[in-house]
Amino acid sequence: METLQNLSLGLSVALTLTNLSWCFIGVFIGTVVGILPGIGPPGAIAMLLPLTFKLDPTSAFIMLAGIYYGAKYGGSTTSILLNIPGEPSSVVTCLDGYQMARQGRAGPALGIAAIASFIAGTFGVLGLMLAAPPLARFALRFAPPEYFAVMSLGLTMVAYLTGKSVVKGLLATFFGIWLGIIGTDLFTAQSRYTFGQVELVDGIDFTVVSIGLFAVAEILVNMESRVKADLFKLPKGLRNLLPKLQDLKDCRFAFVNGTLVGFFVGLLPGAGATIASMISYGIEKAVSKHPEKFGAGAIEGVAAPEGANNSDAGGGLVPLLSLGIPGSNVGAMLLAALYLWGLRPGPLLIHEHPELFWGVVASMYVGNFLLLILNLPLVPIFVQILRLPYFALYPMVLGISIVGVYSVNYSFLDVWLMGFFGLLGYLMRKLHFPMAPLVLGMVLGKPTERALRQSLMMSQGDFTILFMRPISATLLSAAVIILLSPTVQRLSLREKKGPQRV
Amino acid sequence: MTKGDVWAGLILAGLAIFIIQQALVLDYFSEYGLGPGFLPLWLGIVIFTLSLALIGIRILGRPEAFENEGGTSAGTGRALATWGGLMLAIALLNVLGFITSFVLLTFLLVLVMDRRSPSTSMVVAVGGALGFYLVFSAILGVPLPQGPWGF
Repeated sequence: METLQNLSLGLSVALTLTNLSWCFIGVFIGTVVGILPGIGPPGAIAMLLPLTFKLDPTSAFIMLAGIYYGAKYGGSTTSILLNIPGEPSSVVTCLDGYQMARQGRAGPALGIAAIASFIAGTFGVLGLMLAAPPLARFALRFAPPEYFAVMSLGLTMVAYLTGKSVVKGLLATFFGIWLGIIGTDLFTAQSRYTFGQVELVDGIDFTVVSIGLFAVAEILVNMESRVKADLFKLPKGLRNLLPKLQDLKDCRFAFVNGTLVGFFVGLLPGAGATIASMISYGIEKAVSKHPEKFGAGAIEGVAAPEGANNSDAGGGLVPLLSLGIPGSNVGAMLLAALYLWGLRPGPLLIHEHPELFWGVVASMYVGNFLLLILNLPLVPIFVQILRLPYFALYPMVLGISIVGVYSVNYSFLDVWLMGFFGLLGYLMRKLHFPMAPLVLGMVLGKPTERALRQSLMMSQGDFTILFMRPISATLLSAAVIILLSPTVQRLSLREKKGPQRV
Repeated sequence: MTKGDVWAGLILAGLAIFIIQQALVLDYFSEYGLGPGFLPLWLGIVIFTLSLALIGIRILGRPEAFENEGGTSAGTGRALATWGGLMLAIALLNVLGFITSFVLLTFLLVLVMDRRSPSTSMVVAVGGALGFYLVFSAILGVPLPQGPWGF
């Protein structure tokens, strides 16, 4: 009953003309960003972040969230028509979506992708609505030791799950934490690593780092090589885009699978939509009566991953909005945005700003519906974006990056730093250093340090406080187990291989 | 990318030494408990240790994350040339203003990197700059860096 009352509050916020407009702008930009292979949601959100400072936080969050989940709809279009994923989580959709297009079934492939995205996306929001408030209420019991533990666990999971090398994940995390603590120490007002620059006393702005790492670095990666591909023609008319009744029947399990896998994987920091879509595709293939059809144009092979990567958006917002712990690049940006707008992300956010949480939840229901319209009857119009020459696009992205960074503090140093982080992001990609741990480390660096120092103030310097309280002890133990698991795995593998060598 | 990882490890180890050196100047303890030097010192030590681990893994040939992003040296050259152009435009921001710097950056990128004709390059550059001026300066009121010509 309370949930329904809160939802009606959310609808009253989301259905105002202003917020409906921001929701539409968000999902529209999201769809475009998803379709364009050259720029992803993190880059788009990073570039738009400075422009949201003048907006009401609820409207701004509705728009940025719209870009986040909207891009997941758009990402399938290029996967199906070009065999190039518009964003990383759509990579699995290429396997069967492109084969369907080759067989002349591009319309039903796009249709089922939109329908699966809508169903899973909507249920993902339902999960967010039901899971986040109780989790936030539970987290109200948290004191600094628990906050330190939960942030440590989040950072560990992100370092462990993103990328293939734990060492690189950890290095990125700690480098991010170091970037986050540059500036004035909160407790003693001493300057740290400011290099004598007054502009660094308040630290390096998150926008500067994120635009450099995502927008500029993305352009540099794309400058290396351009993949030329032929765009499949789309059938005309909505009827030809809609899947047949048999297609929908075939995808029944895929809808459920995608929704559940996407939501639960989304809850885990660091796992992300790409892993969710891969797992759901694997499950779908494993339980299928015709696994041999997968990879050759099975419609379930499009529905399951597309559902999973949309449901993941709802799951990913649960820890972000209830605990203040982001699980991905985009989550880190949304968290940074909440700080920039002067809000306090964490368990009190839902209690102190119910209009924001419930407004965003309600807007996501509306947004998913808008996206269904944008991605079914209007998809032929969006496809025309792919005909835009890249040489006209990337200078604009670089220009928006410069203007976006400069407009934060009107500082030339910020623009220089953005250029530096652009190169850093490019080199990180070349060397397979994951980005998510760096941005999460940067966002959570100061709060983690604050929680640790407050914990030790509580215990008068006794570190055992972190292990004597049940919740923090459990969370920290989980973090230690995660950290040690690769070593344990390696040792057990060596033991198994040992006798064979002899 | 063995060489790349070794270089990355060496650079990060150097950064870690700098972090530790600066942290030693800061107070490890303060009247409030831990001081501002506590976290940076341990961060530096951990980063240093992990950097050595990264170098060690590469030299000993552990199969962990051994592949690179791919691409050719020509591709890397294109990316670095684009970055150089961007940095040049940033350097000129203070002198020529945003609009002129952007026109120069776009013209050169489209002409040199994309091998388009000078006229196409100029249309993209001037059209883009005009769009920026209209959207950011005229409509949104964002003050862009100005050059000697007032824009």
